[in-house]
Amino acid sequence: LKNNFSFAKAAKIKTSSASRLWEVGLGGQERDFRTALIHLSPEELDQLRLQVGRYAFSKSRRLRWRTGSTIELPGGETVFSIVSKAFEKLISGERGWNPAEQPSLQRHLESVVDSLLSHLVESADNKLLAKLPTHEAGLEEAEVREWRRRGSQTPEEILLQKERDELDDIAIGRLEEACSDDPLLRSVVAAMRDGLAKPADIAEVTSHSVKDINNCFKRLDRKCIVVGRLMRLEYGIGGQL
Amino acid sequence: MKGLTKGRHVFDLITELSSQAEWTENETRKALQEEGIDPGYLLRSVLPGVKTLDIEVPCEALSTFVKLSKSGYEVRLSGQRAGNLQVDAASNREELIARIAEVLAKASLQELESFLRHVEDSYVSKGKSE
Repeated sequence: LKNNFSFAKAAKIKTSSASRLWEVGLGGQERDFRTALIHLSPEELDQLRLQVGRYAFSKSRRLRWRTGSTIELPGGETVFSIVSKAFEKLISGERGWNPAEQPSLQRHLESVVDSLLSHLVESADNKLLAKLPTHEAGLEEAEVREWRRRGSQTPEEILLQKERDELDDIAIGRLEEACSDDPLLRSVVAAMRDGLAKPADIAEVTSHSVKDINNCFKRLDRKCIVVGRLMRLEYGIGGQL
Repeated sequence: MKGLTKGRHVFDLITELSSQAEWTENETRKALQEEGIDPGYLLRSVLPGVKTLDIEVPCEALSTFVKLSKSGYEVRLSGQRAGNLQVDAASNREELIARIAEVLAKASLQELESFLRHVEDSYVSKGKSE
């Protein structure tokens, strides 16, 4: 079907033309997540699916996948199936939406995507390495203590994290190069490297409006797609950007 | 590098803050295309399982649900006016047509437009898949 989930728009329901329709008009107690979806026109529902889909691909890029792909994931999953599952969990009530806690349905769905991706990245099918050596296999007691002191990370995982950090620092260099023709983007990256993490703070140090800075983040996310592609070509890493 | 935020935190921040920004549909589609994703494919791929979930429409307006199957069309009309109907077109075409006509006779222009758009979408899809 061209559109498997296309509710005909209810004629008597007032809808907002705002792109964030799912954030408004949901105050009534009788309006739960199902009716919120039904109140969306097919076009608005398409936009919601696209937004959550874009978010899922962006998140997948930041994770390390055994498959070497940011789309084809372990366990036979894909980013498409993950987004689909998020909607299914919402509608089935397994991950029901409480507007009082999270006013935005889009954000709620994105948090479900986060949860699904997080489980998948930690799954056994995403492990790169074989079983770790045990104490009985000859590991020194001091080394075991050192593992435990570091929490749940194993030496291999610590090594991998170090490698990832190094690659991320290289990738930051690539990102700065990709932003060379856009002084504002470079300033925003520099501000983040200096530890600023809020659009309002970055707006202040760069003397731009918060709206401009938010637009910068959208452009930066798209630059990350290019940088990710470069890093995969140069270092053969799947995901992580 | 000492004193600078780690690269991974910067990338995490970009992902987080870009998702909080407001994206237009055009921007979203462009970003997906740059990612190598066909937005149309995404829309077709996401939610195929949802159609099997029975969701009632708690309003007076007409809602339609048309599903193609090998045996024909399954049309589900719901809402207070229409009641609920599920007909396999191949086995009981007359009943299907009669019930659709009955419901459509009561429908407003806007409801008819919604219904026709839905059916047209299904026909277009069927033609492509065959």
